[in-house]
Amino acid sequence: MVDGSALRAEVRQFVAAEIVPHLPRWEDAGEIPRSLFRELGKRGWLGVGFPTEWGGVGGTWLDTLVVAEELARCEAGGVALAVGVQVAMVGPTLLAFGTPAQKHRYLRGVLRGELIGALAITEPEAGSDVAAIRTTARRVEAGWVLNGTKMFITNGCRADFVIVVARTGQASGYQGLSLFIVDRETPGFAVGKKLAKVGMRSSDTAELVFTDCLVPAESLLGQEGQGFYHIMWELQGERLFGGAMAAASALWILERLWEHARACSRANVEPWLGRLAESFAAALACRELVYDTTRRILRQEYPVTEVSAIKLLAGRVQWQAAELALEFMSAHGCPAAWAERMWRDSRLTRIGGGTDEIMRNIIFRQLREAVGAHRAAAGVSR
Amino acid sequence: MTEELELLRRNVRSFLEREVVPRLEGWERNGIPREALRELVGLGYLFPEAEGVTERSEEAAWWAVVAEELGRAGAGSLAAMVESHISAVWLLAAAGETVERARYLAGERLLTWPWDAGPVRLEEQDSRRYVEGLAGTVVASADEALVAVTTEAGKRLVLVPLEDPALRLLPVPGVGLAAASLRRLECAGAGFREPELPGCGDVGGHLREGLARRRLWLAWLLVGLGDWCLRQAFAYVAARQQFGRAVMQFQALQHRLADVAVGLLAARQMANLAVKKWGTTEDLLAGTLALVVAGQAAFLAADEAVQFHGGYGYMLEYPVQRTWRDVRQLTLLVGGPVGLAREAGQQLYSSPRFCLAPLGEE
Repeated sequence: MVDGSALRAEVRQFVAAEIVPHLPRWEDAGEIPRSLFRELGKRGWLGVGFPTEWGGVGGTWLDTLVVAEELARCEAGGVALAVGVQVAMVGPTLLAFGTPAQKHRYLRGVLRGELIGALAITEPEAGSDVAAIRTTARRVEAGWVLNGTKMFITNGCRADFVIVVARTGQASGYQGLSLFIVDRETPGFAVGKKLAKVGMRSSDTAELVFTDCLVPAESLLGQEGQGFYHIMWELQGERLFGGAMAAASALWILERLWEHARACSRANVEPWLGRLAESFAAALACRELVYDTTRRILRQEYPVTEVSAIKLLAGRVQWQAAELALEFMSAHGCPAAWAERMWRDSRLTRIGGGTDEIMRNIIFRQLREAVGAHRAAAGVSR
Repeated sequence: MTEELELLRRNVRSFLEREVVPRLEGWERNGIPREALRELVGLGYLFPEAEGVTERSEEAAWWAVVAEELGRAGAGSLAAMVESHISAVWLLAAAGETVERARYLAGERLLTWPWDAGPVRLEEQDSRRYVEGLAGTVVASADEALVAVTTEAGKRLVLVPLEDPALRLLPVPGVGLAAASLRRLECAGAGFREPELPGCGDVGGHLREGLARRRLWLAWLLVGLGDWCLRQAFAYVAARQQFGRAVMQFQALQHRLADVAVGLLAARQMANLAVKKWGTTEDLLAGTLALVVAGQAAFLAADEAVQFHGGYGYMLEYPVQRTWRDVRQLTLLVGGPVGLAREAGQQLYSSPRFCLAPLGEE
């Protein structure tokens, strides 16, 4: 049982004392230190929502969201992103599809912060179009041989292992994709380059190259040929977690603005109050949608429309808040490092984890199906 | 949703589909007759207390269902009239009125609470007492307007008969809610009567609460109207063929439909938060924010629905233009998107803490 209120207070205090003061250094270095993963793991915060059997501390996704929301208040999207990959992408994928041996070997380390994981889906020629993945995994007597290149991989520069999506069958499109766990030291695996980004600088991003990279048969994660469906499942959690972080980040930005506004005279801030309220309302609505959708997931529902809507909305409200902050702080003669950083960082939310346009595609398809089902139920022919 | 609320939703929906939707177009041309409003009020659906619901959290959920269903039926004008009456009845009840309560609940006597009244004062001359400074938008087919007047002892409620010769009911040059018989009320020395309220205390607190309630209700109405627009748009783009295929198949429209749906999802969540906050110190802020979000989402839905209908959307023959106009008029009645957002910002600014707490902190 996790005490959400105590957890929130503890993480908030830790973020203020142990993360925020170091941000300028981490942003310059282009990564957060390994020690931060270990410290978060030691405190049990990477394991919130994971079963104790595999090193988690129990609780549900609602508790995980508390950690997400508080990490999002750390003034730099990069820190939240690096930890988010570990908690919301790598961990859940291992838990859902891993064998007991894989969970023992990788999941425990991930939740303790002793291992850093990454998830490699995107390729230079396969961004939104997951079905266009070209990386292959060819079955050989000793296991599988991987060849291909992965792009924009968060935590990729120093991950101890990477979960890789590769094509294992002859079928094209969504069929014939599988997941593999590749250890960092595996011959044939290399970091092609560390990518320089406009924001999210305290999180490292890599191009990864697999050249005749031989992995043992037990590296296969989940069912052979079901990789696409595994990833689609994983993306729901990633988008929900990312959306929770973005909405919380927006609310944190607005809270900072509110504090600044309260320190100014009413006359000076009056012209800004309407925009502040509009941003606040939009961010609150998004946060409520996150909570409501999470509760539905805990009731074993699979609300794809809402998760996609969260991703779309959260990117928008975070960006809206960051825009307002940049303008407000500048207009009041106090340009702030946090405001310019959040402006750069928040732009990624509308791109990573599925672009806004992909979210709209998904939402429309779901709407169309819902309308079709409704008509069928009502006995109305198309 | 509880079983009781689901039953309420089914009943209200069924009544509206049967008795209201077929008459909407006629009403738009000729106005909603007073009898139709009385009939709906008399059904009892509008007042949770008439059905024995007294818990605060339950009554707010009840209002939400009724308001949303009126919106889902595309009945913007009727809903505006209903809202003006039930908000006035609620306000009187909150202040302790019991004498005429049954008549109000039964729709035998119809009230209107102006959406936009400024400060009103009581005057006395030659032993005649009258209200001065009254101006606001009312439903002209009501019997009396409920008005808050400022006195030295605080705010008091009075009822101004709409047939008073000192009142002028001027046409509202608005874009929508054409069937609601809205009039701009202005007066120079109109008479009034005082409802029987226990004690003569200040009703300022009730007014604040009444405003929070009104905004919550209207936010849900706008969510419903937006939903009506989305369904109209979807049905049209699925049927309409251009370039040899249904226009729904064009991605340019698909993405915009998705944006409309997402806006309404967000509005529904914010309106839900207003329901949860009802009866707390944050209810007015939550209601105001919910109305801001719902107004934006509903207007986007309405405007896009008109656009997706192409030329037909501009024709009076298609009901989509009616709701497009109604939504805009509704948002204007309550202060307009800019004014409402500014007011919410002022509430935020004045708040001692950055409020509406996250998960686990409520």
